[in-house]
Amino acid sequence: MSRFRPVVGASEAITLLFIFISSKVFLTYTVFYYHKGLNASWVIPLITTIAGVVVALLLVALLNRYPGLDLVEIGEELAGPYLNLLFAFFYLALLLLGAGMALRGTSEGVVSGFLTDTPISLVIAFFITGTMVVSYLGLEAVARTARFFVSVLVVTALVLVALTIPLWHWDAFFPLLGPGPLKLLLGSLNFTGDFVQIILLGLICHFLPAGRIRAIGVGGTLIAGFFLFLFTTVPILVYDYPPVTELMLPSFELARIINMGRFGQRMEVLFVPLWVFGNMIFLSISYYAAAVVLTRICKLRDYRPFVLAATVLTAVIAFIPQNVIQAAYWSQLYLGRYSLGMLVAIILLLLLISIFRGKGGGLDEKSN
Amino acid sequence: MKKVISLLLIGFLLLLVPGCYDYNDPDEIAWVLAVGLDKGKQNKLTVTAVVAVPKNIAGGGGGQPASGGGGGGGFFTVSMESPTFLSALELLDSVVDRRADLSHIKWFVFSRALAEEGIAKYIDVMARFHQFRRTSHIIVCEGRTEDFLSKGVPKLEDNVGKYYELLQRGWRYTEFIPFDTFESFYLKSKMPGVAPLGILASLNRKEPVYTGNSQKEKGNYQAGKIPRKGGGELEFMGAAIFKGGKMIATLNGNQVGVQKIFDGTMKRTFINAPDPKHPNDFIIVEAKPRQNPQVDVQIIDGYPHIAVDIKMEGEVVSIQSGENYTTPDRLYIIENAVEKILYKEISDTLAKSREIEADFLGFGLHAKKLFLTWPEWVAYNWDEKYPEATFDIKVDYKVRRTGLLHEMAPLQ
Repeated sequence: MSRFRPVVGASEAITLLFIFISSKVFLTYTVFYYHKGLNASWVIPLITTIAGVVVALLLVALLNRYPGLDLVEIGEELAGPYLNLLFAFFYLALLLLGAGMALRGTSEGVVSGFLTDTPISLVIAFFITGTMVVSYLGLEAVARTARFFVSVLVVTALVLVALTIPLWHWDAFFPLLGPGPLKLLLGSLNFTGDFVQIILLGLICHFLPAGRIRAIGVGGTLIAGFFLFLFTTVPILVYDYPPVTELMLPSFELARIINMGRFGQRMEVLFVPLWVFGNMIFLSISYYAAAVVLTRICKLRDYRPFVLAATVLTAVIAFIPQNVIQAAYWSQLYLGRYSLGMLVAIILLLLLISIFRGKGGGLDEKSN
Repeated sequence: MKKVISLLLIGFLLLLVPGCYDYNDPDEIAWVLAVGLDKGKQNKLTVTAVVAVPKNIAGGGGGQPASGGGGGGGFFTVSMESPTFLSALELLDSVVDRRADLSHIKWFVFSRALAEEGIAKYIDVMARFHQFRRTSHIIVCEGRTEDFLSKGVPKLEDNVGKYYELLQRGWRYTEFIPFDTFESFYLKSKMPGVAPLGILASLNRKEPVYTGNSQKEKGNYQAGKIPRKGGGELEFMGAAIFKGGKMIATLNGNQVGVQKIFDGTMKRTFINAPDPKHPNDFIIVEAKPRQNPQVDVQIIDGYPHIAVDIKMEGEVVSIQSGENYTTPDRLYIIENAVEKILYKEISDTLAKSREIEADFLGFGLHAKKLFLTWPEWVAYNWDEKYPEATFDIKVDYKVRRTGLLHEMAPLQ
């Protein structure tokens, strides 16, 4: 498991990271942007992307001080086992809550839009079965699967956007400043948690090419930011403000509105891979990352027994919200609003301890 | 371990063998193609569903009547009394052997009486319920929708779904049919600064509409008042304007044409311009937008001043008087005559929008660019200020072609 013997390539790692961060655009999540940013909500992902890049750089700075250790191990060394246990449970909560809400949201979307007579438990069971197998096979399998599907996802997403171009209303951008500059900036702070999935970098750093972690972190964050921006802006252009705030699944509604003559209608089925594969890769990454955190907490070597545990926990969390609205609100409230700030606090604390102790061998990425 | 997991997965896949929950065979579904809503006779609403009869569509039996209430061979209609829109769908499942499906609906038809009472409570379901599509169209019909839908038998098509699509698609060939999908209607209903409109439709009126044969401009008609004999039973012409979810006025064909110029959905139209040298004759031209209309809104003394600049171009189709205007030094006569009639149509339509206090031309969408923040725009209260707006209209028409004739020789 030496980080100097890469198992996951840089492009695969960037793919993993950007899908892990940006797959939320296929859920209800971005609708909350519109409540804060009104018609200027497209600015929010730009601001949160900057925050995401800053956090990625902070995390990379910490990881580079301790080559060969992941975030949980670094925490153990710097903060001690007891405090680090709290940190590890925080990471676990992030991953499981994110996966649980995504699982519920995706399954509810399938039931609302496609399989209206199918019980949600069966839909969830299908999602869990597929994603658990990939996670069980390990990071390489997850990364290769993501790399295999990324071209399908990106092309499908861009085709979806391109087909809506005739429906864009450019006047939707006006009044240009939406709720006003200050409210827009403060509103953006509610969504910094968009990029909390950057934590993945800290958990898989063992497997990444030496000296490329910074590039992977920044690259994955920027590409994710682009897709967040795209899937925030296009619904505004198509549905305008305020009607855009009403949508349950903006990306799904974009597909439903495409209408190219008598035969180019009802095309949402063509875009099913976008939603299904995007969210399934997200779930696979979440199970794997949660299993890694559990492995570190228990100080074991093999993550595999914990994949099933992570899956079961995710399914339990998915069914805690009483309805899809609650799941969406919880996701925004607990993940979107506070999580990145807490992660930044942990990283800064660990960095400060590290600097104070003068520990860390350090890795100069430029020299590699 | 691998064997155990494989067995578990195979066992799970066995769940698929009985078939999925959402299995639906297309020939076990009653495809609803249009829904009409009237004020009820025995309940709050009368909901009329047009159900396709696929065997007749496939077999070309359009001329033969199908069983059920009204319709041709390609469809039948069912009218039900119910308290809400979707409760009628359940009732439909009680009287039709196949499960009703609304995902292929082309038209939502409201009777004028219901539209004037307000349709806000019915459009929510169209945006929310998964079977409905925002690409459908909102139609307001004179009279009752149950008659409108049951008597609307296609003449040229076996497929009633195609008939509905093609009839509505007339917006491409005539200025008199507005282009507003349900999506567009819904968005405009929710946005400040623009008023939504629906297609105005009617059954063919049998008795004469007008007495006397005095000259009337073709665009002055609207659905239900087109003097004609023969043709299909349904007619589309004009628009119904909504404000606050209620229909407040109608537009005639010419006014719809102007609305389409500003909406960017005007494709082409024929204009009958009075011949300046021969008052009893017309110069007939085809006109198309040359570019998008230029709209400049300014706020002067708290009220909007709107400058519009319309640029069109086209082809001379007919000069009834035989006067030779088609020389370079005389083309301006045609252009001026067309500009004059266009100016009048635009002025009349702007006056109508102020009179009914509804900005169906969408000037508010230009005005909001003057504001920096959304709260400032909402606080301006465009709907209240718009009726006091002043206008500056410029129309420019250029003749590009003169048809297949170069210059006209006078009749001998």
